[in-house]
Amino acid sequence: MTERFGPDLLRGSLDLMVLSVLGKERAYGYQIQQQLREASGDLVQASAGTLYPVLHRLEAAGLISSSWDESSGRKRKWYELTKSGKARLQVQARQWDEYVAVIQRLLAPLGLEKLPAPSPGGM
Amino acid sequence: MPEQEFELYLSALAKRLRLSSKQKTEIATELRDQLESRFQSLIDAGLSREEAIRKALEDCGDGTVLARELAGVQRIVRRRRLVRIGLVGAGIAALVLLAVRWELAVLERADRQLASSTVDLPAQADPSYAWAALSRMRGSGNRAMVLIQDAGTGQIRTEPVLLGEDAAPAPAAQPAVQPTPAETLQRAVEDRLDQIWDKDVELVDVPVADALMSIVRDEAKLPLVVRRSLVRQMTTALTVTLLLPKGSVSLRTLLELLLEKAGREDDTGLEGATIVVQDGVLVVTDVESAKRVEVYPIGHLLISGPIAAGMGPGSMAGGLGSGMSGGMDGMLGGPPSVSFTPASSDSRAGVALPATEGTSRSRPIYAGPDAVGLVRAIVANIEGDWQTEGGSDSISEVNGLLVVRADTKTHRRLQELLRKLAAARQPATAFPPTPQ
Repeated sequence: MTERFGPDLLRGSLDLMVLSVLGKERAYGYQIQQQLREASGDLVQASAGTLYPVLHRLEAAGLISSSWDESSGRKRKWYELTKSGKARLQVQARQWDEYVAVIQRLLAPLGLEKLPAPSPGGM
Repeated sequence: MPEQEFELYLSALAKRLRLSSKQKTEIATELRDQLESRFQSLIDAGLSREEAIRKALEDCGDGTVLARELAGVQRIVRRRRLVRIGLVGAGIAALVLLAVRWELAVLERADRQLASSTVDLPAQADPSYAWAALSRMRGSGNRAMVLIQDAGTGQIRTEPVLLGEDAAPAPAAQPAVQPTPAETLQRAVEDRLDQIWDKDVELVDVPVADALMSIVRDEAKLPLVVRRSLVRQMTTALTVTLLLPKGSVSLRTLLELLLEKAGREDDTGLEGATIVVQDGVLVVTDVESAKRVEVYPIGHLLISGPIAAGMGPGSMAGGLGSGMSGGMDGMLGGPPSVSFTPASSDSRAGVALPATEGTSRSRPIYAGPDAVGLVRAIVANIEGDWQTEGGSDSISEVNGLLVVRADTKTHRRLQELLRKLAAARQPATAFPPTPQ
């Protein structure tokens, strides 16, 4: 079993993840949290305490914008990408691909996929 | 819906948000949606009510931490919105004020209350000037530890000081002809305040403290001290909407608008807050504490009447020995030549003046009835809290000098009036009036 991503790994990439979710369509906070979980097969479990500051920060940076809507019967804050958010997503997605390629090139010679998964408590 | 548990969490969180009530409500509404949505899906997954509530709340984490992070983001937004940065005109004051910043924090121990004030001081400033400013705010005789951080090296050192009248002696008395560094500094800051503010100002529902910090500290780079009794109110009181295109007001007017308009709102606790310059430091204080005594030479304004031997009209400034060149121009160009606060620092002013109280008790000695007429004109035309009307502002005339105790605004109006009077008198001096 793969373990959940640790907070260090999440911290650097949560912005990009949130932008990606909103890249598809507008969403509200809980929805974003659920989509991250589903898309990652439960590997990404961003807590609300982590997610909302990120949302507010992205909004402050002008990358996403918000609007209130009560059509669901509950007052709800929806987020969507702004123009500069879309541009940022494109740039970051490309950088991410390059980053992943670099890590893969570094890992490939080690043949790590053949190593047995560390047994719990074995080390 | 487990409203009670969630509402408890949300109200505790909202209390920790130092934001406008609108922002608080929005954040609470958004998080309520999160909590209830999560709760519902946990119930759907078969969890017990208690378990679902616990998990939903756990997911939001410590309310204090979340509040701090959310408020932190909002503060960045506000600062960004506050003032658009542009280059300050000419940077005259920058010469004096930019070089190094000293950070001073004072811990007052006398009443065991933790009180700290921060003063940014320009490089040239002798820290004792800041102590003087602080001591006025804190009464005398209190011991304090001052932390001084050199912004250049980042090193912090501590120095014990005694505040108030017993404080370390004021910087060695300069020869009377040279303005002291304190006066030069004072003048530089006053000039800076009178410069036109060269940036757009957009203030909407911003805590007064944030607005002041942003404008005075971050933008104008001026040293700022806030009277302790006003600090709390300033962090909670919000400014009224101020939209001022650049070039429309002076920095002084901007700050006054900021404080006065906020103070006029209900229950802000900022009523009467005002901003003054003391020893080159901007001080936010209340009107009564801000009152100070100034001395104005008025010999040149008196049309007739006996004048002290050897002193013709227009020579009073020279007679004061204050470094002004003598004659009317020198006198009118600058602020009053002697200034001291009534409470403690007469000796520092370097000129001992008889303490006079109110118009009624002082008798002009050398000047004729015109001096009384001038005082009357001032009281009649300048809005103030004059003693003759039961207030605490005093005005009296001694030896061709006007001694006035009032707040900054009244002093400014008075200077303006004296300037106008002198201007009106000037032609008459050059061309003696012809009886026509």
